[in-house]
Amino acid sequence: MEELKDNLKAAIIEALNLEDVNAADIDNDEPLFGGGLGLDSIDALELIVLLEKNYGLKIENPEEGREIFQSINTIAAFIERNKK
Amino acid sequence: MKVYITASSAITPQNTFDSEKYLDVWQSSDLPYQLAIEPDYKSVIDPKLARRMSRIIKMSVATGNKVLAEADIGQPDAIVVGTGLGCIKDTEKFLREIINEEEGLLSPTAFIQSTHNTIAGQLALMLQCSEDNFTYVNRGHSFENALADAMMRIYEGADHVLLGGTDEMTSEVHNILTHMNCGGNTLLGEGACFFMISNTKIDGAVCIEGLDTVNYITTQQITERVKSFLRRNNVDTNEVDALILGIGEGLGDPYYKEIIQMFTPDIPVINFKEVTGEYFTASAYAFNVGSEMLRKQCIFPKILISGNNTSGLTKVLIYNHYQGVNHTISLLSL
Repeated sequence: MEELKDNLKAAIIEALNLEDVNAADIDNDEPLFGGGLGLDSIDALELIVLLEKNYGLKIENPEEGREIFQSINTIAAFIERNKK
Repeated sequence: MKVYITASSAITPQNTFDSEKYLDVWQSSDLPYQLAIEPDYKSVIDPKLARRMSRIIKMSVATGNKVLAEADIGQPDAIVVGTGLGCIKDTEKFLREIINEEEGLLSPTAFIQSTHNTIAGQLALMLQCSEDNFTYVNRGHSFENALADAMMRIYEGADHVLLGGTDEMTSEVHNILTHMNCGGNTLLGEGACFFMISNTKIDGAVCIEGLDTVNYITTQQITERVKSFLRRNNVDTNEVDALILGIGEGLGDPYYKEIIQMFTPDIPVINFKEVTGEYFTASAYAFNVGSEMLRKQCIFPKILISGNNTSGLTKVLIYNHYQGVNHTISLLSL
């Protein structure tokens, strides 16, 4: 699970081009949107693409996405729950 | 009514962004095309915003911000930008993804940022400016048409218009344009030049006396066109103190030869494409270097190809053509 979270952080930093942010700077419980990393709606679209590309997981319900993208922990839990 | 450049800023393949070091140390490069010398953007653009920006947007936002600060204008009455190829790097990225992903999963950022009007749009978003926002994409007259729009807005009552001319070069674009022989003998280049176009003369403001654009004109017709332009602006050829020409490496180019022969042999001739290389909106830099020359009352030796300046500079004539198709004539005065 920890390895998954580290990979996830690295993928997010690369996909969202988060300059000056290291994986160690992102707390697993830190909110990704609003405060924390300050991500926005375009980043949410990028995260949807990232989950489908890297993990083969689709998020079709926007309400579901709101829950899943709260933090690294929630995304990792979603991947673990749905991995094939 | 007169139209003035009250502030200008340029990022080019030479040192032009830092006013203190303007064209002081000449940079050379082994690349087959000229790449702009970019500043440290962290001090000019919010890193949270910059992370999504490609080079052309960063160059444009940095020069645009500098112009706004210099002119001390928070909200211009319009933002008008000319660009030949727009955000071509993001377009390439988006197209490559379409191919690689077989039209499947595509990154939204590259798509959003790939449109030509992203540059003017990004500036408007940063300024929260809901005034007119226009982007002109007209090959070698992209900047000129944006400038004509800005001038007409001033004639119609606008106080300040933020104007830009900007293009970026990539290896793919370089390959394609080289195959099409679009640079002639001149290295292809890139750059971003922004201006505050205003209705009021302030200290250091430079007047744009006139602008004339024409397509597909012959070398025989060009001198008459310039004479007619000068007549319309009540200026005699011997009143022009310097020529700013887009010669590049084309010293034998018949259009430029004809223009130079219209004036006295010792008139200073400035080759602005020594700085920028060739690209669709390179002519925007002619207005930047012209303004710098008039404001500082100096001629930059690295781009002086003939003549010398013994008296002061009051009027400078700009002439450029892109591929012998898009011709531009303008006159700046102090």
